[in-house]
Amino acid sequence: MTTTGIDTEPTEGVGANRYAPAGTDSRSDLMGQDGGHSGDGSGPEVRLVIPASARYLRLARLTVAGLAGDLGYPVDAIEDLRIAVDELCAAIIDRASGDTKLELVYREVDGGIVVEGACVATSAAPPELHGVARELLNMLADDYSIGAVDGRRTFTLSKRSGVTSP
Amino acid sequence: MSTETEQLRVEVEPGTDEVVLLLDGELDPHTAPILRRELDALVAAGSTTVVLDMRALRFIDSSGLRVVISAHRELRDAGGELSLRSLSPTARRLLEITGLTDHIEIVEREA
Repeated sequence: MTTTGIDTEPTEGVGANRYAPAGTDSRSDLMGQDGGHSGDGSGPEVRLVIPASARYLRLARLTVAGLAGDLGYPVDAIEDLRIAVDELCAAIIDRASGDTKLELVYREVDGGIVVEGACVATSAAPPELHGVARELLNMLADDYSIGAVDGRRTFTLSKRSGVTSP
Repeated sequence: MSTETEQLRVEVEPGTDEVVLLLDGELDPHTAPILRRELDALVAAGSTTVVLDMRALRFIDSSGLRVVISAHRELRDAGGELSLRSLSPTARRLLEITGLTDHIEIVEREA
């Protein structure tokens, strides 16, 4: 039995979402880099750890949709984020072994959403985006990057809401 | 007749002129193989005109689009056609981004 709901307690390998004050978990924790996240202009942070399996991509999408909804993103931008997160997660978990975890950090930065993902890779080769996925990401994301660092496949995605404050 | 997981249900409605697949749920790397298998079975059975009804499809990504593209090519090569019916605004936008609206027939609603 596996868990597919996002509000449930973690069971059988499905990690928990948790909110943390901005700046307490910097980019360096997940990405192996010195992010130096100061917290200025940043909102709450959400962490999600799930099995690196396509079965659980829905949880990655639900999380970004929830955060974007809380931040007042319009429906179109929320849909864009769901698709972009899905595409990047799918790329880095490709060929992941059965017990590998996909680690995701979602945070608000200067009114936009930044999502970082990392997954231990079974291959040193960088993840590849299918041409269709690349087309979608180029249109739906403000910015994204994907690669491999120290045996981990990683991505970063950012998108602003497109709504300007009065 | 239907095939489903907890995330996608594919219901097949055989007709005299066309076969309609009703998609209910989300089409992503986990569920796209389910649709792929259904389409493969239809092609193997000799169906050439297939409609994907997407009114209940709540998500589609590039893995789903690739299944659609592949089926479109196979049916076209067999002298048939694949059309998409009742797309959500998001699905239509993805098709426009990828240029598929120039190649695949889009039907707004059931006649």
